[in-house]
Amino acid sequence: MWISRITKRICAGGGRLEDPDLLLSIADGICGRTVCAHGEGMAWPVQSNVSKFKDEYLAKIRRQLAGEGASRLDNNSYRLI
Amino acid sequence: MSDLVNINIDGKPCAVPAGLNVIEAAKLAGVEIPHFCYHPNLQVAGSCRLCLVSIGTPARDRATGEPVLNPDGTQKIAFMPMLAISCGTKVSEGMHVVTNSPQVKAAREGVLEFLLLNHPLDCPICDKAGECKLQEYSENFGRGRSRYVEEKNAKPKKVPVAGGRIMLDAERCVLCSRCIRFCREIIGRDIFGFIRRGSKNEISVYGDDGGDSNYIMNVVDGCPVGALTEAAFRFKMRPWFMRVVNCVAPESSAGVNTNVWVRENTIYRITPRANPFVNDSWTSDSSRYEYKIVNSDLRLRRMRVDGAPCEPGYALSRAVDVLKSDPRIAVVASARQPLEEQFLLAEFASMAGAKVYAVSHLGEDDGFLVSADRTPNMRGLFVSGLIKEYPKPDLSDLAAEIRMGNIKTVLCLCEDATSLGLEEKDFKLANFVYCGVNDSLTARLAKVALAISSNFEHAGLFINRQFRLQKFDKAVCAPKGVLDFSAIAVKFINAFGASLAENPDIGQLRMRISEMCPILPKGCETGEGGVVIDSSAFASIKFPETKSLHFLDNE
Amino acid sequence: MPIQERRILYRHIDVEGWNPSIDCYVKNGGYEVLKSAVSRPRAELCEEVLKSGIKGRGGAGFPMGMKWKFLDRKSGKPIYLICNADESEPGTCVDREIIYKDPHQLIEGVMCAAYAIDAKQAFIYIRGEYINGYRILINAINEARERGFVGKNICGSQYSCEINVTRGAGCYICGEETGLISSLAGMRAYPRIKPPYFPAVMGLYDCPTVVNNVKSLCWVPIIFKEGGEAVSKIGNPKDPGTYVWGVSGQVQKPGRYEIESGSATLGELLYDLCGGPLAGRSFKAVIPGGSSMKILKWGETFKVPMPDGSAREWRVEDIPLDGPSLMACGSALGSGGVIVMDNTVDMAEAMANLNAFYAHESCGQGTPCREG
Repeated sequence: MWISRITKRICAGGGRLEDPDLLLSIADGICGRTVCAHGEGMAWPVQSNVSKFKDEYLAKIRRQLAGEGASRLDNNSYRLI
Repeated sequence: MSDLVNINIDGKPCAVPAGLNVIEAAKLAGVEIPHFCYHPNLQVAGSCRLCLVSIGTPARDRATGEPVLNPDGTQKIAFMPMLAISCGTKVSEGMHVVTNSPQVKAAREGVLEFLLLNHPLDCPICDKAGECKLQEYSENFGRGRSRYVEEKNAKPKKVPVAGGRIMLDAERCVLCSRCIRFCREIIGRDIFGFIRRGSKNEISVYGDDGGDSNYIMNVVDGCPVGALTEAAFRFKMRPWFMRVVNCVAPESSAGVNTNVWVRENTIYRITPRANPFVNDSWTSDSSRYEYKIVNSDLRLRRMRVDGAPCEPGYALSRAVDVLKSDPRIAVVASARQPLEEQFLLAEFASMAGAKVYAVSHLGEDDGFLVSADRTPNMRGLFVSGLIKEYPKPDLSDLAAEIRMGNIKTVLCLCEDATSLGLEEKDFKLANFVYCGVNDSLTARLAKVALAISSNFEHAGLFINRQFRLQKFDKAVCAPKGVLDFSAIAVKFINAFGASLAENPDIGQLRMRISEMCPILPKGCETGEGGVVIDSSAFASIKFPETKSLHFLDNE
Repeated sequence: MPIQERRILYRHIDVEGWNPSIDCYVKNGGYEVLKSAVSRPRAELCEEVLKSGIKGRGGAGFPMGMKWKFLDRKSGKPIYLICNADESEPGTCVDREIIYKDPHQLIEGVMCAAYAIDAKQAFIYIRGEYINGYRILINAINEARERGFVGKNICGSQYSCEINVTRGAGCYICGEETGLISSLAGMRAYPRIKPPYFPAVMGLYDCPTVVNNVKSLCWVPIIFKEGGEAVSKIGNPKDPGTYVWGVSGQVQKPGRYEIESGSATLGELLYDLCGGPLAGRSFKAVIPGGSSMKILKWGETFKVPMPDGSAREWRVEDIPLDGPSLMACGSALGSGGVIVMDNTVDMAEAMANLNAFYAHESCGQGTPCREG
């Protein structure tokens, strides 16, 4: 939920530079502490995706902060929860 | 007798009874493990994940089963790689529990952070502030600053449920499911339930919303946050301003332990006090509002002689005159009085040669915490020797005696005789001295009416249906002009020739009655959960209470 | 050796002239295994499954034989078998083929397994969205019942077992075994804590229950027929059998490919069988086992220790397609749904898409998963 809101915010143009590390921190906070494996299923993609593609995230956020690039508000393949 | 199991909590070895879970074992060792969804009297849910601790068991070689030793010869402890929930783990021999490692601390911080993400900032207007577990745990184990900058979930607030007795605030809910489990397991039907999914999970009520249950308000005490609050107490007072007094509910012979919350001589609310032998952590809704008698309009506040209000001193001396006027005297004892007053009454009755009557107040036994006997201390009447048989529900015997002319003076305690078989004409045939809390026709017709303190205004002892002696303390002071019955009784006894100390101290009273009655413990010491006294002398008496919680249910 | 498919579970699918009816299945040797299984001792059959070493095909990869061994047979309570056909893991679409095109293979598998564990009743919990699959299954079960393969006195033996097909209602968490058990019993699909609610001890209605995936149950008749030893020799000995890889995403030929475990690498699957990336693009990342598994980035290398003590360096395309190898590279086999992303994909968008799914599908019981 929190992770989903952050990634949506990044895609909508409101990313902050601390967001990738925040995502990793949240994902670490979920792993190993849940009732069933759904938590890990949610956290593993985030952990691997953000850590392996961190440059891409930071580049995207920097572009947003510099005001370049259109924000993808018209992409409704995902919904805000 | 349960066996003891040796475990080690945070480096400290201790022995705890087998079959406990780790939270309870840690509590015995003095270590607090924070938890939300676990409740000692409900089934384990294991969903809040706040009680995660590091658990290790003695390492054994997989192949041979032999213990694996450390280089220094001590048993090696194999800690599980992931944290385990302590509410769901039972203690086993040699278990090591670590609650203060960095991993556990990080887990607690993480879970608390997650709980606070969508929690509204309601503390200033939330009734639970001051006794809120979320506040406590955030203070002790939390992160401090929030990292959340998104929008919080919006859910219904200020929803009245249970016929308006409870206010539900779904945003504050931490989804511990205690209310759901309570209703399902204790009340016996589903009243609360979750709707929606994920973070939008909300607590809601099903159709009939529990308005007809006499136990629904226990969810207010069970709720660790301010999601379910008592409507009658809403915005009335902050918990840290109030003083808590240990009392026993006078509603019935169940003897439910309660906490009475008082500030500046006003009672604000009653909540259950945990007693694993009597009421677990529950009480009935009806017993929560018993304190209303303290200030009700029905209260007898002035002493009266011949119908006219007067000073207590004058009323007392007139009462003594009346009682000494004729030796044909009867006493109507009350099962609502505490044991000390009953013993004093018994002393008076024997000194005055009075015949003792009592009344039983019966209702339907709900099989839980409201028993068939709606008085708190019927067994005290037996133990104090006032009665030998279970009393009838009316005073027809007394009425007959009065009409035959055999009784000329009656000392009537806390019973409205006119609704129990006596008529106005009987008050002309005999002189009545009425001592009671509430005003009534009897009080108005009596020659002398003495206003006495209610069970919230003096300390005392009750004996409940289990023959358990339990003590309760004084919550508030009686209104001006109202006396304690123990002081009045001493005056009466002394008028008949004794020389007891005036205004007796409750400790001295208890010591005296324990000397008079050998089945009572010395000084009437009751310990933490009350003490069961020997009831074999009363084994032949047919008491009306039936199988209930911790009573005749083989527990 | 160029990559080859070895179609065992998919042997009938997309075969010319095949149809899902029972006549077609029986004509091609169907239900023979069931007929012979009901005359063999149960302990022997369970032993075969254990010897085969086949791991559960649902995603968790727990050995099927061991799961059956944990079953509490002494409690006196009835045993239940549940087939988990709630294929909701994003990227996974392989069970569907079996249900839609070869349902009798599944039914034979369910009945063989039910007999082996002495189940009182078998359930197939199918995803609510597979409406036609549900109808096909009902029809197939009726056909099988008429011929005595389902219901009373199976194949003329003393054993009776009914199959009950239940539809889900659109919830991912119903694919989790304890969530499925709760949902099947009519309650909200909240996974239950283990302990004490191990399905093998306290499962459906608090009775011992075995929950297996569709593909795992389809292996059961094969194990009974060929023997556990023989099956254990197929593919990588640590992870025997074949895996069906449902490849989706930006490849030339997405589809379902059944390959012996460990017999080919990821690169061979994607470049040879699937035809490589789309024109003018290059691969960027792949999620090998359904969206819950960790992503592999093209260009990454992994140092993997070998059994002989040496260490090899694998690129993404060198990873053999079996469970232990993928785990050694930090990911996992999962459900076998391969999602391929090429260089036109914005990872943040992909991530947002995925996270919205997980946020939406969380049951809400446990705090970290619900709020995090």
